[in-house]
Parts: sequence; C-alpha cells; structure tokens
Amino acid sequence: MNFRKILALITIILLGIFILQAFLIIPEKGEIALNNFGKADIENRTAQLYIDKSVNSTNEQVIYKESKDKESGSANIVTSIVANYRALDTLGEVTVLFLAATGLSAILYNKKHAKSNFILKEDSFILKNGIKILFPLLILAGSYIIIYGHLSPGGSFQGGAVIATAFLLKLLSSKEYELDENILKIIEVTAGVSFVSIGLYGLYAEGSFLTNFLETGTIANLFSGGIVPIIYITIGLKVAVELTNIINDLMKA
Amino acid sequence: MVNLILIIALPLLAAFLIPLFNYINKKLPSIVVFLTTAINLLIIILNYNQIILEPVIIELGNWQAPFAINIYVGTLELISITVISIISLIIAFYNLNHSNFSSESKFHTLYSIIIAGIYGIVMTGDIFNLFVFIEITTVAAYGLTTFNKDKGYEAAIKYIIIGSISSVFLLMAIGFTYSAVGSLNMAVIAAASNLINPGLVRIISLLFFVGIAFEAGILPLSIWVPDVHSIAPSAVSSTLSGLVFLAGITALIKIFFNLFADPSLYVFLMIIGAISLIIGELIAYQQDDIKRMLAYSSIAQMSLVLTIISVGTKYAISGGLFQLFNHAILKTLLFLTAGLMIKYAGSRNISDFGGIAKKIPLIAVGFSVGSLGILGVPFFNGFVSKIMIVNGSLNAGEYILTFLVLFATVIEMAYYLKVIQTIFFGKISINPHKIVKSYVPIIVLITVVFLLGIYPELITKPLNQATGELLSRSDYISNVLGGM
Amino acid sequence: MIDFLEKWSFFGGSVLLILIGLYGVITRKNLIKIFIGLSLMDTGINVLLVSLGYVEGGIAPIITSTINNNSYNFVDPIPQALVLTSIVIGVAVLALGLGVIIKIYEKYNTLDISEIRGLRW
Repeated sequence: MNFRKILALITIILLGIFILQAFLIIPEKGEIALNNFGKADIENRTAQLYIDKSVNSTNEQVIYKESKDKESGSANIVTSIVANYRALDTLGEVTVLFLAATGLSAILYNKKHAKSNFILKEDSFILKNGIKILFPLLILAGSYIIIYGHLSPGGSFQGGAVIATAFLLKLLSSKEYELDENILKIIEVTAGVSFVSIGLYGLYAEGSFLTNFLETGTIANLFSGGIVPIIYITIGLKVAVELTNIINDLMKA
Repeated sequence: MVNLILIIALPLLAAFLIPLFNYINKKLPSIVVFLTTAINLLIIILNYNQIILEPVIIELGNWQAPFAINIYVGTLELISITVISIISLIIAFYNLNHSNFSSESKFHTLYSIIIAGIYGIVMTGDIFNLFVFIEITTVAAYGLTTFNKDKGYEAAIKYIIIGSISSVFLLMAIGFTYSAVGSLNMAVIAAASNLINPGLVRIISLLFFVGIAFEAGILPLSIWVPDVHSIAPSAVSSTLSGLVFLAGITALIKIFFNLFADPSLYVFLMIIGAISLIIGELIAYQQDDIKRMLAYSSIAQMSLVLTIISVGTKYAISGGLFQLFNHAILKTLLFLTAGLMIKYAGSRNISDFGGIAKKIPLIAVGFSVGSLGILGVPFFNGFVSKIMIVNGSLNAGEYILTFLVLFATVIEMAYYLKVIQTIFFGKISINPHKIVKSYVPIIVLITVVFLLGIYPELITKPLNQATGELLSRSDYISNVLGGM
Repeated sequence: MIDFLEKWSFFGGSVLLILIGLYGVITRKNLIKIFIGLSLMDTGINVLLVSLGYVEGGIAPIITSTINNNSYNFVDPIPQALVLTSIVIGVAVLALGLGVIIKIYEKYNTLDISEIRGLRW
C-alpha cells in the first residue's frame, strides 16, 4: 500500500459518498428527487406516451395484431424508441461506431495488408468443421434478430454483433481466410448512406428529418412499423460490417 | 427557410460516402468536405434573418416538441453555428492542400464528422442527444489525434482515458436527471428544476460539470489538452481549440443557465474558472514548445470565459461570449500559423524561430495579429471583449476577479510578446526545412479579426440579444413547451 | 429489510462497480488493466441506468398476444434505449483504445505507463 494507492482510495471513498447521497435524499413535500428502487414513475411521463404510442395521437389501447395505423407501429417499444422516437440518437450511435472503425483502420493502416501475425496452431479438424456448421447458423440467427427486431426482444445491434461473431470465428479458425474488404466497404457505404437518405426523404416528404413516411400497419405483423424495420436493417448491416472491420483490423495488427 | 438539421445531416452523409469518393479520385474527399462546409455556411446565412427574430425549434421525426428529440436554435446558438461554419470552412480550405497523411480519406471522414458533432452539441435541445454528440466529437478527436504517427498515440491514450471517465459521469448526471424529472428534454427539465430537491440539483450539476468541462478546456479535467493540441496536426489543433472548446462552453452555459439556474453554482464555477485561469497562464508562460504554449493559453482563455459568464450580469455575460467567439477565430489563426512556422523551421521551440518573419512574412504577421487579438490591443477584435469583461466584472463588484483578469493579461502579454519579438527581431538562424505556402486562410482570418475589431456592433448586437435570452429562462421554456 | 437490500444491491452495487473501475484506472500501471477499469465503469453506469428505470413487477416493454399496454406493468423503456446507445459507444471507444495500445506496444515494447514517455502522471 503506497501513498498513491491510499490517495486514490480516499478520493474514491469521497466520490462514493458524494454520489450515494443522491439516493438518500428524501424529498420534502412538493419536491422531486430520485425514485426509489422499483418505483420508477412512468405515469404521465414521456415513457407512458411511448408505451401507449400517443405522442401525436390520442391514447387508445394498443392490442396485439389488431391495432392499426398507430403513430409508431412496432410491437417492441424499445425498438420504437430507438428507431423512431429517438432516431437521431441512433444515427449518432452508428456514427460513433463508424468513427471507431475508421479511426482504427487509420491507426493500424501501415500494416493493413500484412498477414495476420496472430499465432494460430495447425487448424484442428473439429474447430474447422464445427465452424463450418456454426457459420451459416450464426448468420441466420443474426439476420433473424435484426429482421424481427421490431417484434421481439433483440434488434439490430444485437443481431449485428451476432453476425460479426460469425466472422470472428471464421477468422480464428483458419489462417487462410481473408475478408474481401471491397465488399465490406460497399456494404458499409450503402448502409450508412441509406440511413441518412431515409431521414432526408422524410424531410423532403413530411417536412421533418427521420420522419416515418410509410404506413405503420398492424401491430406485431412482420410488415409493420413503417420505416422502423428498414432503418433497423440498415443499422444491422452497418453494425455487422463495422464490428467485423474492427475485429479484422485488430487481428491483423 | 431551409431546415437547419441539414447542417448535421449533410456532413454525416458526406462522411459515409467518402470511401466511395476516395475510390473515384484520391483528391475528391477533401473537395467534398470543403463543399459541404460551404453549403452549411450558405444554409445558415439563408436562415439567419429569420432566427434572429425568433428562435426556431426543429422537431425531429414530426414528434411534438417536448416528447422526442428537438433542436433549438436561439440567438446564442445562431451566433455559435455561424462562427463554427466560417471557421470550419476556412480549415476545410486549408485541408485541401495540407493533409498529406498516409490515409488521407480517413482524415477527411473524421473531420467531416467532428464538424457535424460540434453543430449537434451546440444546437441540441435534449440532454441525452447532447451526450451522443459529445461522444461523436470526442471519438472523432481521438482518431484525429493519432494522425501524428510520431507521438500521437501517447496523447490519444491519455485523451481516451480521461474522456471515458468523464463520459461515465455525464451519463450518471443524465440518468439522475431522467429519474427525477422523467424527461430528457432541456425545456421540461428547466421547467421542473425549481421543484427538484436543491441538494440533488447540486449533485447533478456537478456531475454535468465533470462530464462536459473536460471538453471545454477547464482544468483539472483538461490535463489532456496540452498533449493533444501540441501533437495533433495543425488543422486538428485549430478545430479542437477553436471549435470543440466553443461547443463545450456553449453546452456548459446551456446546462448552468437554461437547465439549473442556481446562484450557488455560479460561485463554484467562478472559483474553479479563476484558479484554472491563473494556473493556465502561469504554465503557458513557462513553455518553450509553441503549440504547448498556445494550448495552455486556450485553457486560460476558456477559464476566463467561464469565470466571467458566471458573474451573471448581462454585460459580463455578453463580454464573456464575445471573448469566446473571438478566441475561436484567433486560436484558429494562431494554430494554423504556428503549424506552418513549425513546418518551415523544422522545430517546435520558440527559440528556433528567430527572424522567421523575414522569410515567411505573411505567416508571421498572421501569428502576430492572433497574439495581439488575444491580448486585446485596440483595433483588434479582442479589445472590445476585454473591455467588456473588465467593465462587466467591475460593475458587478467583483474586484478580485477584475484584478485576476488584469494579472492574467499581463502574464499573457509577457509570453506572447516574447514570441513576437523572437520571430520579428530575433537572430536569423533558420535553414528552411520545408517550403510552406498558405495565403487565403490567413488573409481571410486576419480580415475577420479586423472586421470585428473595427465594427464590433456586428456581433455585440446579436450577443446582447442572446444574453437576454439566456437570462430569461421562462421564455426558453415557453418557446419549447408552447402554452403548457 | 428486503427492500433495503434490493435497493442497495442495485444502486449501491452499480456505483460500487463504477468506483472499483475508477480505482483501477487510477492505480494500475498496465494499460490493458486501465482499460479493464474503464470497461467496469461503463458496465456500472449501464446497470445504474437500467435499475433507475425498473418498476416493481414490471416486464419487458413488448406487446405480445397476452400483453397489451394497459393490462400489465412495463418497466421504463427509455433507460433501456439509452443503455443500448451507451453500450455501443463504450464498445467503439474500447476498440479504438485497444488499437492505440497495440501501436504503443509496438513502439515501446511495454504496456507499463511508468516506462512510457509522455504517459507518466
């Protein structure tokens, strides 16, 4: 235990007290403070409007496979927030991922075309053939998670990560496996550009960036939610490509 | 009326398309980025007259104002984005000829996105969206720092570590605010802020301060600044010092004036700012590396702005804001010219710049104009803002603060004049390392400096209006929430 | 008692996670360990955000054949959307940081920050 560690410990403890007292504040009458655990107040707040899908329209019950043409058509409410109500955040988030991939490839640029110096043992039979079976399954599972993102748990980020895992396995299993960087680049450009273009078309057609310009359909149908599933597919492709790029760059470094 | 969201969307679109442009022609990415910044300036000019009359609220996705993300452009935001668009255009022009990196197209991608992020920080009306844009800006800045293959990595890792810690505290502040108020919209939070327990307000706003101040160049969170600014390529240093700091301070102002207007916080800001100001100036005085000196000077200037704004009177705030915009213009000029001098002399030390003015007169003059502007010499743009700052703090009865500001100016004078003396009258001792040329950006920036120095009304009139808007929170709230 | 434990195991636990991460960042000398500390902080803040939006007895906010918006308690969906964003941003920063670490390792052949010039603090 040297001086530096003791100093760090004292700082941490003071900081902890400072933060934790926020939870201990008991509000006086009429005041508001942090909610108690499990008592998050949703009623009459923005969250309730998102759940009822009544930001722009009146509050009606949302019924599975029956409610039609609600303002936002996805059954998964988190999806409707991510890809519809707060879509600008998601655009920003995809941009950050794109930035990381671009920055990483710029950092590791010099060695870009060097062979992987990741020490791999002789390709084992089980590894190689196991991944041959797993690879299409992982791609399938990832695509399912993306495409059904507006209906069931999951979504484009999760699905994109699963697809990237498939490529990670492929890269780990074989020394010879090379990703075609041109194809990756084409998908990357297409996905990013179509996300922004969908937003811009909304601006052109409905007068506001990232507006839903399609029919929202019946809740919980596969073809429902207007632009939500389309945005989700573009994000899914983008996330899959960026993560694959990151893995590829890091393995070749 | 063109929708202002385009100034965020277009740079992003351009950045996503750059791999394609790079495939067509290696020169195309820089031209595209230059064109987008030019179009952005055009969009802002087209909107200027309307926004100056009445703040504009852009509802994204056609969702009603307080319930989803909205973008708020009042007078302060309008002046900020105008200054940002002018400076980013100049730097993009500079990049056309001065970006010979091993992966040039990626540099332009990151530059385009950092501009979008800076616009976003300034304009957004939603605290989580603010976080996202701050992250966009910082991650782009991490990437841009590493374009110096020599020493960039050490600076970048420092930046990344401090940035990540800060972003955790920023998220915590956002989480607490959301839990208490139930909304992420700035106007809703502002309307409810009187109801929040005062103890909690203090905790939340301190967390916000920790989260944003690292982006705004306030010590002690900005210990990364000298490393990053001195090592990054000149165009990046100018962007970080001029524009990112501007956006960071604007975000801090929004948090502390629009969201939580608690007078006890202003005292805290003033003390932190004053300490940071004096320390920044003192360390800047000791530097021999010219870019490190400029970086510490930036820290001091930002602290000065923060201190003066937290005085809280109308006159002082206008002065502080004026100084903020002056600093953005002057530091761009200083970093660009300093970078060119470094390239020419092949050294970063001030002592090696003896008599450089005889070899590259325009660049030396540009550097001197920038220095004199920061010092606040008459006919330079810094003069009016310095006068306003001193008057503002005197009128508010903050005599200690006035003394500190004057003391800081004296130190500043010592080190800037030392550089000017060396480059004009020093013994000629340079063998040109590399021939450098750049006329248009420097001439344009010098023109802007004198324009604002001789006709300060160009900016003080809208600034007074912006200050008025800042001090009347109820107007801000009712603008966004309507009659609610 | 149970309430108390429940509250502090989530709120206190997540804050503790953040503090442990911060302690690691401050005291460790190995760059990889510092980044593990940063990851811990990220995880802590994500747990904190989600637990701030928890509703007792609440379920995931998805409309299914048995669940519609009025008949059940949903947990707050907004923090979940925020956490989704913050996780992705955390991953991006981590990846970039690791790339830089690789370069630093190539240059100095060490990850110890006390041996790397320009990183001592």
